[in-house]
Amino acid sequence: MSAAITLPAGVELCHLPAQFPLAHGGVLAGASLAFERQGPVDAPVVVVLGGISAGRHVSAHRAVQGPGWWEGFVGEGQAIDTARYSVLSFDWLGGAGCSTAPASGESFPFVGTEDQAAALAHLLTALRIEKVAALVGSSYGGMVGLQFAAAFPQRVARLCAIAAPHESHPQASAWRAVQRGIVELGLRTGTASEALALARGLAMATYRTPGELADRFSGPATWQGERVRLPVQDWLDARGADFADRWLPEQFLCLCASIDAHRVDPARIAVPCWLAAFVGDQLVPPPQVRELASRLPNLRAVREVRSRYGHDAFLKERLAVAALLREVLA
Amino acid sequence: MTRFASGQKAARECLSGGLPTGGLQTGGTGTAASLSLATASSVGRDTTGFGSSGQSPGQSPGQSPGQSPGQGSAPRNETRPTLHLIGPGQVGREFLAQARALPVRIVAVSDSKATVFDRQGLDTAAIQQHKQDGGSLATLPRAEAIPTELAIGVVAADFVVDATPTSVAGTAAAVLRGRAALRGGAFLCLCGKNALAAAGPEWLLGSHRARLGIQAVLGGAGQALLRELDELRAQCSSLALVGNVTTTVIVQAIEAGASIEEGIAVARERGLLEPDPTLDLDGSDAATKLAAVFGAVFGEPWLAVPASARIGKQDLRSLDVGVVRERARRGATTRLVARASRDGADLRVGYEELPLGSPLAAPPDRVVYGYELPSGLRVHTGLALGYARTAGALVEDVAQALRTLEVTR
Repeated sequence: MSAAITLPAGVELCHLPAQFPLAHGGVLAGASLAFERQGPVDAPVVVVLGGISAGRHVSAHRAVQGPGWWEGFVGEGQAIDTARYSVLSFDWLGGAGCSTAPASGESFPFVGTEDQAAALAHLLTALRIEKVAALVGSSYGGMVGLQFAAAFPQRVARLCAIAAPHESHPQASAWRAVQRGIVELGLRTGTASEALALARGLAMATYRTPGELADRFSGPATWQGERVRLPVQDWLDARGADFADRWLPEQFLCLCASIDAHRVDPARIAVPCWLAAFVGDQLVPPPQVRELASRLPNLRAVREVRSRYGHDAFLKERLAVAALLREVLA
Repeated sequence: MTRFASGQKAARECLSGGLPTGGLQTGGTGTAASLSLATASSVGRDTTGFGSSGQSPGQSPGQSPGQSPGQGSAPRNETRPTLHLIGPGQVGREFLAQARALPVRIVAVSDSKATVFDRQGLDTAAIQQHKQDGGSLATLPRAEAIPTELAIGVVAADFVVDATPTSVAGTAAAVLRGRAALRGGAFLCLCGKNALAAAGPEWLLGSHRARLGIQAVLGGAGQALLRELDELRAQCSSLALVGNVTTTVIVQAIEAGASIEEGIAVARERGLLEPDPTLDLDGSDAATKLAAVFGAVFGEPWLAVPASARIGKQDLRSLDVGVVRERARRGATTRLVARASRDGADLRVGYEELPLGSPLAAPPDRVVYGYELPSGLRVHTGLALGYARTAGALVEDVAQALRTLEVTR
């Protein structure tokens, strides 16, 4: 019946209904959604959502000046121009931001992409925003966007889903199942933080392409005593350690499972849709996005972009993604 | 053993200045005053006050009058922790109902007139019904009309749950009851905020903290405060709270076009007004919560907490409804906010304009306490509003203490 969070300066908070019902059963009691807004308050609203490790802070702005996860895409004069649009984003329920999430050792109900979408709808209601000009979602954010468009078509004018499927691909789910297994093993054996770092390292390897890793990390193994050390390991270790510093194992498990349980019927999405897929994306392969496109009743465009960054191309392929965003908002 | 401390010893100390102590001894020969409150002599006897000839309400045929329904024959070596409820009003009665799920024996209940006691456990359903019907405990056979703080010492339960509603006039008595419970080694679960406002530093900053439950006092945000109290005391520079949902309901009604009187009627219909509505409307309730939290976070045991009566307050009836609605039209809202800073120079309670994204812009289903820290605003929310949830918060405190007890056994 009580919850505690810490809000840094510039972060706003939306209190969800006291008993927030969850799509797969159960409720979140007394939950809150932390969010940020930038741009003119009275301008048309664009909701921007990223992957599970992205949060409310999309890009630097006057109230929160540190770099965000989508710098170069959102800001004054950028593809999502904050001189013209009010950009809204939030921390995922269950994740590592400031929204309600599991604490260490705490059990937490299952939170699906439907629930994130319902939370967004409540946030819009609380802010007295009837309808947003667009919802732009990448990866997990795109999954939530698809759910939102299916459940609340009257509240979104356009949907742009980047590297986001209507259901998780079994191969991607297999990799994530192993990641969760590693973390659960860590929780059982008292090595949760190390396990989380290891799982994140595995995740990083799935985000990128063989070509990129070959370019960056080809080279001979070195020996540390009797142990082999590979050039790619420093990168995996660093990314894993960084993630484990910011996330609790319980939070990772919550959102990782949420990705794999994601499923939405494309036929229910009547909102005008723009899709993007990246050739080389091992998690959301282009054929899957093509299938989604073929089943959407109101598809406006589907773009396939060749990228050495694989699934992470939504963060890296600035020109191609920016062009798509301008098309969506034109 | 399940005792937190030497409750029996404290009970003797409590009695030593007045009532004879014989009633506390096994097989004791206490005088009339101690007879029905006696620990061992009450085993197997009817001390619920419902008489020995008939069945009490909710009692099964064949069940002895002193037994709680479903308890069957309580063994003499019963080891479940004991609980003494004070204040079987609406919250207290609801607590009696919810507490049946707890592994405790409710051995005593006190109202403003008397105490009933049975070491083996009372028939709480019967007492609940008796109070529901408007009865006083004093009308029950064998009820003891002794001061509650004295009864606390005599009963010497492991838990004292004080569900007495807040009243300005009752502050001194509430503090006395709390002191009696803590001095006797009991775990004290509070419902009324006045005692915490008056004695917060004394109880929270000394050795008693681990035996104090304030989840209900702060509308469900009390456990979070206790959990983080050391950090907050070290780092918090100022605090703000929206702790009175009644005024939130009224403000929202005004935003929707209602008059102040109509808003008050809405709050009354929802059962949100305090027994004395003045406490809600003139800001006293919020001021008392502010004093309680101020004492916990910024207070010192040797310093008096600012009296809530001396905190600057804005009365709801002075609100300009036009201003409230104009704020709503601009995309903002209004809340009764209580604020304090570490130096205590400016404690105030007033209606403020808040952006919709402010953590203090709480909906009428919760209270919010905000603590300013170097890392940002620590926000505690609570949902323990209304009789049932307030009782639930008391149950949470008892359950939390039982878990702690289990760990330390």
